[in-house]
Amino acid sequence: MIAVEAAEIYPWFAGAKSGGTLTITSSQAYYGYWATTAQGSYFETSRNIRSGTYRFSRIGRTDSAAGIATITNRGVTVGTLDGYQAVGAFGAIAAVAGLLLRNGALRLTWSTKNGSSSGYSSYTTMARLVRTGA
Amino acid sequence: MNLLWARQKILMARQYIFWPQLATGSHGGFAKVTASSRLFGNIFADTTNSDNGKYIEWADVVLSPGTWQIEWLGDIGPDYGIGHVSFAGVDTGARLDQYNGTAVVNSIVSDTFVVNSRTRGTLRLDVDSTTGGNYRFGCIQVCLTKITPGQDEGRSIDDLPWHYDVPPWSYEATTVGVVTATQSNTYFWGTRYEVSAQNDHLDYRVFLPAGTYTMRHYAPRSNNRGISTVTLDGSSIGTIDLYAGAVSQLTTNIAGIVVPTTGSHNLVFTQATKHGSSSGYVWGANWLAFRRTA
Repeated sequence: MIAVEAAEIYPWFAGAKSGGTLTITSSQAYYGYWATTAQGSYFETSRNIRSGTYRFSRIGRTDSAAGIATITNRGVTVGTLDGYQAVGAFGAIAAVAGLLLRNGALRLTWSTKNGSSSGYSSYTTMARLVRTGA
Repeated sequence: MNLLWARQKILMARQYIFWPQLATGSHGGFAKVTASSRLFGNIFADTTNSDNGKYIEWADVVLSPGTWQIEWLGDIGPDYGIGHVSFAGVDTGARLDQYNGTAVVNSIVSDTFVVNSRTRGTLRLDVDSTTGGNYRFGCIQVCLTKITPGQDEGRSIDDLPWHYDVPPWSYEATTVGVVTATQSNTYFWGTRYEVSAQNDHLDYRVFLPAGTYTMRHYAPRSNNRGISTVTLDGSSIGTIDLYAGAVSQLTTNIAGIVVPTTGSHNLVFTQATKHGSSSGYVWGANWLAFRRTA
């Protein structure tokens, strides 16, 4: 199969999402991010990508009240990304590698949290998928 | 002997992102408006109220049959007009009405249109009508998403996208020193990622179908910038000198880049040298993008 092997994801253009607000601050890289606070918040995008192993990277804000993003592909959990940091930071770049993905729905859900976090918030400016292997 | 050739399945894209500053054509009084209240720190806008035929467009957009949703992120307000969406020279009937009784920044307006057959053409937004009487238009980002399943099979790699972004923050983290991020809405995208030591390098992975490309690089110039040698899969495709006596924005196009094979490629910027008058080797980018030209 020939399909794209990289994709950029902007939460405000996600096909399905559970609310959230666009927050603008000059402290964050690119001047803003998509923010949610409720446990179970999510956004989902559907892409035709070539099947394989991917690295998912994200730029946004880490926070003492941030949750853990569970990444699912076609309903199957493929990885997680923890947004918690005791002292939050703007423009934080984080990645999780080795995700086995196929074309179809990719969803990020914030339903769990680090034991030290006080909440399930998410703060995402954009994300990128890059294929790293078969 | 019979040879059986398996036809590789090609999946066409289901989402496109468009930046007005990367438009392949425009008309009107469009200019960058700096505003820290906007996502990405600025907006590409024509704030004249007149109907001066303003439009922006992006060529070589390949859409599969089905229903597509167009979402436009920008300003809405009492003086804004209605964007008419055309594709491949045909009015789609989709309308992006930016009128609102109260001015609101960072708003998303959307509509849908149907594509009947696989088509490569130009996506265009014309401000041709108005609800409130004026024709202002401002755009931060546009998104096209296919919202109906199926019919995504292409015939050749020409049915894959002809535009690819490489966000500068997504470097592969293989640099000699430290990558620093600097906010500045003086320039489009509002943020740049830079390295500063001699022989520092920034590495990226970029998916490109086989073809010929132009790479576009955006960055500020200054008196402490270096010269980057740019390689794609190890072969040099050019150099970019960011030195200048005074600070200014530089847009560099490296054209005629031949990509022989479809797949993921290694794009590396190495800062080994500098202009004789430069005091340093700082080098980076606000944005990177590839556009296929053949």
